[in-house]
Amino acid sequence: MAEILDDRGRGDTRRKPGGGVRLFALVSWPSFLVAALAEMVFFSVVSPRELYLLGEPVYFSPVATYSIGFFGFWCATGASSLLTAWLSEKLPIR
Amino acid sequence: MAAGPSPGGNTPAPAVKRARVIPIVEAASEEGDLYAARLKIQPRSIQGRFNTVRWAMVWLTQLLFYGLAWVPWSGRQAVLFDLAERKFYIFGLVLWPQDVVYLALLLIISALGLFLVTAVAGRVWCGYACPQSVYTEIFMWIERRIEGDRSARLKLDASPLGMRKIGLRSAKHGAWAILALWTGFTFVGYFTPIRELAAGVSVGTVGSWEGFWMLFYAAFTYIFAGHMREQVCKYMCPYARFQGVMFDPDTLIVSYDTARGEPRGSRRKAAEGLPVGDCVDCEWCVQVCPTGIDIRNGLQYECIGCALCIDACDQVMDKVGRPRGLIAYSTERSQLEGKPAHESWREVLAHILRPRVILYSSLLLFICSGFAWALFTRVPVKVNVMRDRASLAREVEGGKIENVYRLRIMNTTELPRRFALDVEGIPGAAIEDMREIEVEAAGSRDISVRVRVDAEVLAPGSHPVYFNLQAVDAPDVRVHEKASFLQPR
Repeated sequence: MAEILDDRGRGDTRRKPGGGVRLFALVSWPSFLVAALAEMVFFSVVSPRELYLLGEPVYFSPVATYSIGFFGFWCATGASSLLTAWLSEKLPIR
Repeated sequence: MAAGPSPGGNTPAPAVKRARVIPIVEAASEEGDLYAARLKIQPRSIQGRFNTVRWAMVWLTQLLFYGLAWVPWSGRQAVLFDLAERKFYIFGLVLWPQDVVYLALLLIISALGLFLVTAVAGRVWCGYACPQSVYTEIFMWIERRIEGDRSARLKLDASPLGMRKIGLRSAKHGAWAILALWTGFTFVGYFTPIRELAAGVSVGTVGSWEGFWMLFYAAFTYIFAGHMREQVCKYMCPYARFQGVMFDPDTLIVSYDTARGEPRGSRRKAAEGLPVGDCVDCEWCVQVCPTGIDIRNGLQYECIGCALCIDACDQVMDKVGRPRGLIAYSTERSQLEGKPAHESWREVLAHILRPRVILYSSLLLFICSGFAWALFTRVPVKVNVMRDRASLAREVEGGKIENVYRLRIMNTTELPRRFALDVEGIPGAAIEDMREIEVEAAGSRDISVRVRVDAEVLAPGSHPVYFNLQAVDAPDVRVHEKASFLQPR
């Protein structure tokens, strides 16, 4: 695509990410923020020692539980963001 | 100029490639714009008042971040968010999971503070204090030291890959990686005692999750500050999008004085007798901009309010012998009224004291006082009472009913403490084998307590009973905790 020029014939100095990068940023970042918040709220209320995994008490170290919890939250919020991005992308009417 | 897609960047996809399933309305879309080639911004470095303030903020925030983790406090790390033990140490304060309300209050205070600052002074947070700006600045400084100034970097970008380019690029990425790793290490050092962590790193025995988080945060820093830079502010930051609702006509913004500057043009044009304004169209304001915008196009959401264009323009105005302030901090109202932003302190105050600001400030003051009060009157001991589920109420010798409770006593001070426990609420209720309970500094202790009541006193059912825990050495350190006593018959 041709470079976009302003009315004085100069190129736009702004950098714009391509679609893939933009989608990645749009999906991963808000979900990261919300996952971080969810992690904070969840684990400030629930102690990792009180969790059960498939009927057995969680045997990981607390740091491992927090980490797995965070990535769990991130996966969930990421899936939601991805779905939202996809749906709004396919939105027939703006 | 080194246009074209940067290495690893996406090839610009033509807009027609996007699948639009039901084209009911032909949208006058700007999508093409969004898919334009990605241009790397190579900002010109500039000296000046606002640059000095920015660097002062870099030093302040980073000395705090890198330094605070190493500060000791009565035999431990002064600031440590000990996740494994679920205790937060902040100097003399030890917060337990029960203190989550303080965390919530702190978050509310931060948000309100941001609202207030934004209403008064626009995006000063973005320009001066946001970690994204601060790390980008540090990473750009490294880049400048290694690859040279703006023109040298543009030349390097355009030059073919050779030994010199490979050398400079490796040096830059190496330096970035070292800084990023140190940042990751410091970050994890706030959650795991940093001295133990340092010892672990030096002999290679760091826990796998600690190691993972160090690398994760380092990669984060490296990618965000080294590669993504202004794109984070433009495409990813929620605050950049909603700050508009906190702006009003009296909010400070970096703005170009169009009336004075236009029509822009070189001095030569002026010599030829053409009408020109004060703007000499040198484009320094564009070249210094870390987000690559032209402030002369008016207020744009990409502007992070760093004011480097003011520094640049002031220098140029000095050179061409015109007064400073062609680009300056101003407000929408002053611009509409066509006068300089602030002529006297009275006017400045009139700008600042407006309903929005007063509302934010009073809310902030209210919540801050609440926070301070809650912290000040916080009783440094907590008790959780749980009925022992294993042994229900039972009848014991002497016609008494016994209930067993498990008490967790948490001492949130940093000194060991002895406590006395008694029970009230039911006539004749007494604790069996009661002794003073000693709880270690910033520790907790679980005890089993047997409460006995004469069977005749109570009707069958559940009755409220209260535990009083009293520190032996301090009369004001006491808690009153409710439980229920079960009379089975």
